[in-house]
Amino acid sequence: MKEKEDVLLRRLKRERRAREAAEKIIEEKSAELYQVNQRLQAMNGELNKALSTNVNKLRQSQTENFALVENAVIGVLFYAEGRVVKMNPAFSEMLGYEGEDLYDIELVDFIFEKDMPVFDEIAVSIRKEVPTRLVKEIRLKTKNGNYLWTKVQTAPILDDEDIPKLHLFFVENIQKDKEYEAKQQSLIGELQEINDQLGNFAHVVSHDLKAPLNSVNTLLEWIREHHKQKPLDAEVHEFFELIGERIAKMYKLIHGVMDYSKVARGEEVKECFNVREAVEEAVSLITIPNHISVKFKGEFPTIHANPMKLKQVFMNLIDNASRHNDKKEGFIEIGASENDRFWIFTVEDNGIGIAKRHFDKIFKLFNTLDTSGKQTGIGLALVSKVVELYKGKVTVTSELGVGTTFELTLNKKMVQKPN
Amino acid sequence: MKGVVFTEYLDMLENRYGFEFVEDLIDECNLASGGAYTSVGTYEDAEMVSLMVKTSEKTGEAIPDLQKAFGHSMLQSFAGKYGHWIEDCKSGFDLLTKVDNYIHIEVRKLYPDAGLPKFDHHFEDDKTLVMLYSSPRKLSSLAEGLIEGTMIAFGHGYKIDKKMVEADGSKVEFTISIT
Repeated sequence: MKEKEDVLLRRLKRERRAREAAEKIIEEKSAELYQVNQRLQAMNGELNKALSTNVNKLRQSQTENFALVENAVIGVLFYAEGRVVKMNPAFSEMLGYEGEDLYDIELVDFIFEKDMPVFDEIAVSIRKEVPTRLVKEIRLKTKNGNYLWTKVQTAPILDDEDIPKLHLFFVENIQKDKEYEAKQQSLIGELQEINDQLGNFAHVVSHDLKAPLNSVNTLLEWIREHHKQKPLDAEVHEFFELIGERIAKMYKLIHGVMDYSKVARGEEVKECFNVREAVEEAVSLITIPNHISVKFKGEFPTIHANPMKLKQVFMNLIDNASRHNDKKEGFIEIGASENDRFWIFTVEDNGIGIAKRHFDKIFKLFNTLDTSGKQTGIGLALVSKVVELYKGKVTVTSELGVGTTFELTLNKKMVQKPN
Repeated sequence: MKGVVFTEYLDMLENRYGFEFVEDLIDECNLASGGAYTSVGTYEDAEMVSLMVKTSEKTGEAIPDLQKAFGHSMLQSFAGKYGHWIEDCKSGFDLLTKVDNYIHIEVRKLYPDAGLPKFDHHFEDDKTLVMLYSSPRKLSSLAEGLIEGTMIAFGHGYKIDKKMVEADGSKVEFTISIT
């Protein structure tokens, strides 16, 4: 019996040691678990923090995007499966539905009947599986039954497989632009008409004035003829001379007006010619006083333009220069140069010069600084008219008593030979 | 070696020969741990060797037979404690093939220092599984007992061929056929 007790006692002790060992192991494992748990919690905290930061960022960017669409000046529509799923206030305001709920509308109900084919084009393009962008001008019906011109731009939003899942419509109000455009068109039309009428008028008037002038001239000749045997007294003779001069001036005026109206009507016969040759021809047609020499400077280009008009331009400028030179040794120098866009020609003299205050005036029709009554005041107006035809400019620099330089530019593109 | 192997072994001995036998055995073996085994602990392999050698001495049972019997008993005990292992398996082969691929992986998660035997396997055909036992502890008979226990637990008729790959018993090939 005692023996069995001993064995049991030993068993008890052994089991107890085993239990203690197990407890120790479990305690250690628990401590380990606790630590791991602490680490996990810390990690979890960090993760949550990172997550909430990201969520906040996302929210913020969503809010920003939303604000961007909501406050956009142009109308923005989200269009999916044939319906408008969202729009911004700018769009409803544009159509006169300020502050009203326009969700889940059929866009087709807003299309002006005559523009249905345009809308069909848009509808076809957004139904395609290939992303397409489209810009169309289309009229939309407004709340009060009018229509509004808009520019609609479509932009697909793609899903992961690059297939459009949604379309953004940017709708811009271009009513004002359209109105201006129409106004401009009609103004241009009117202007054209007035211009044509004016040209015809100038031509007809000149022509009609020439006939009676011819008669007066003939009558004057007859009177002279008649009095060949019986000489007139000096005074009457002088009057006759004056009448003759005035008739000549009248002719000049009429021709000037006719030339000017031809330029204005833009009758264009263009050909290639060398500008220096044209200038030389112009010089040969003018009687230049002996004390004035004509010089050339620079490389003269060959251009494609109306040679008659160019000749007229140089004739007018050189004629002016030759007329108003008070120097003992006068000169007229015609120069040519160029920059990227323009051919530049100058006509320089050492004549009497022009006062600065007249710079603007001299280019206007019927304005002349000449007090003798011989000049028509058409010449420089014609010069600037011709230069304008070739998208150029005439400018003048001058010093009284020293000389004058006219500079004229011709746009290279306007005078180059078309291919 | 995991404490659970020791507690299972002592449980088997106690069932067979009573607790006095067990206490005497522990006494006689003069173990470093004093035989105070707990299933969550880890003990020297040598203690198991001493226990088995001494048991064989005391009972006259050959060590391989003892190991095999222990295998049977351990599997039965495990089937009771971890019944879901068996329930989740369709067949004995299913459980056996899970030992290396699943059970030992799970064990290693709990006890990273566990020195587990390796059970490579392949199927010869639907009814024939070949398992290669490798362990420096050379407890191939225990493995055999566990395999037999498994086949019995699933109610299979079976035949096991055992072939020594390494003469020292550290590598043994079992060919298990369901009959």
